Amino acid sequence: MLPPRIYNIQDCAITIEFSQEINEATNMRVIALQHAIESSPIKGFIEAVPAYGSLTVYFTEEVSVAAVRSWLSKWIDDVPNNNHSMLPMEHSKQVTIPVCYDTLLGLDLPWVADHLNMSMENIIALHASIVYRVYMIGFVPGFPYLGTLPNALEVPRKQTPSMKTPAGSVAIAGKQTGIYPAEVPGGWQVIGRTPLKMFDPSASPCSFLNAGDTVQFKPITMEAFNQYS
Amino acid sequence: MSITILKPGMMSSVQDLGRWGSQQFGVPIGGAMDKVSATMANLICGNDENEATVEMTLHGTSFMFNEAAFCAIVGGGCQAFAGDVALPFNRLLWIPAFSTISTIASAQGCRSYLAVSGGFNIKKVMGSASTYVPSGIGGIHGRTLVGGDLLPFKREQHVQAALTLKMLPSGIGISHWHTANRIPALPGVTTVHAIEGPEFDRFQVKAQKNIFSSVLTISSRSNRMGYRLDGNKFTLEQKFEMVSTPVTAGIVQVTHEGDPIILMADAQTTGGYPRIARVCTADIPLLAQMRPGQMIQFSAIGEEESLLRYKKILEGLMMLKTGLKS
Repeated sequence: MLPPRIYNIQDCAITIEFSQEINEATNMRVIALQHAIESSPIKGFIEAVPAYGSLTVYFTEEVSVAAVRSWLSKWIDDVPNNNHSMLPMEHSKQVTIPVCYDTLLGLDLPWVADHLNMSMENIIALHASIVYRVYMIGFVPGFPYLGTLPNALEVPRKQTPSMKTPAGSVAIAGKQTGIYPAEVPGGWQVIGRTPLKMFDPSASPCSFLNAGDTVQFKPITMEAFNQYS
Repeated sequence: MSITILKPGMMSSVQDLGRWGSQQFGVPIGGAMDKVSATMANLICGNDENEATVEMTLHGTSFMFNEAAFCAIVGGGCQAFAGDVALPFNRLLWIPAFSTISTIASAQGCRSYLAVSGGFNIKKVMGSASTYVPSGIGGIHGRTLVGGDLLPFKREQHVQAALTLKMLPSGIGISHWHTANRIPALPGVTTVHAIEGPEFDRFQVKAQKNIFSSVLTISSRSNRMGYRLDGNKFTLEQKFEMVSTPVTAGIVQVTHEGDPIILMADAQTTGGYPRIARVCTADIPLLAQMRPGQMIQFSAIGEEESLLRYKKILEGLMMLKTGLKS
């Protein structure tokens, strides 16, 4: 693997960028690095934020940028050699998320079926057959970026984002699928809705999912969906 | 022990120095747009720098003190009055009970911060009192302030300290001392120091030159999440697919249409647009005091100088804190 690019995104925030693509091995390395540095933080460390192929570390001005860089370099060299760190299973969970794919909730499912020239039943079966990886949480609090979607389910984003995508909406775009934690404008194609809460500010952690978790969707009926509330 | 908001003005919200530690769950740092002014308002009141303040955007805000209290207003964008008595910024003020404070337009600045002695009693959410409207968290019910909102104080005011103030006939007290005014007088174009961003090299040579030579105007489509800039388009050498990477306040990203956006306090934690530049952290409070229609020009500086400027601001605040306590 190529050595990562290391750069500041703010005076007191450094990004370690391994790659600019969606790749499971790279993401595992990012999350292993996150857990490694969190377990032995340098003075002044605030937080580490994982993304697909990069990790950003925030720190206070009490510690020098040079000290943070050399501390990070040590971990970057160590982590890929450590098999335990490569599989941070103790930090990650496997979750089954119920989804109602009824077209009353999966408003874009008919469009997706038409676009892919595939039956709605087959789309649901395929979408629910895969074990997805949570690559990162971002966009809005609690929004999980899940991958990787099979080529057969690849659809473009909406030309004009919807002004309001309901909370719980399960949506797809490109090679990604995700869940809208709150009612926000959204550009992905909504194919279903989960009754589970993805973001709860009073819970700890506030996000239902965390980077590194694995997710499988389980189709449920409208009756079952309504019983959750 | 409270104030009541009578009119929220253009936009007022409760803000402290931000919500740290939850970015990995997609929760933005948020907090005061001008964290230096918010800190100074608290320090003048003898508070911890991270106490909740009321961030007022431009003018039109009015609120009533339900009890007498010490307070301070720091920042810009308005002039404050208690009746017909002008209330100076950057000073410790003693406000008698049932006084109504109103703000009117001023020529400079954009955001002012009200702190009260002892701080406002606002429930923290994930470690911060800051209001983040898109998720409805923090502040008062996770929203901007509205008429009728009551902001309680944490503790009773120490009245005897008022004796050290210059007392006006109206009963208003004003400290003899004041802190420096940080709102810059406005020339035509304000210099904002910046550094090449992570994707700088992916832009056309013309765009790389223009980002540091163009005069750009802060668009009316600007808010706490980011400032859009008009005046020039910035084109990539070759379009490429970017996956989401962390972003933060100060990052200058360029939309598919070629328009730059400077991310501000409520910036999302991650973004997928190419980042042409990043604003020196020390200059973010300066940007927070600029309004739509005002012009900026980026001036390139090095990483070292950027950090030095930031440290200088923090050292200034430390000195102020020490000075006010002695």
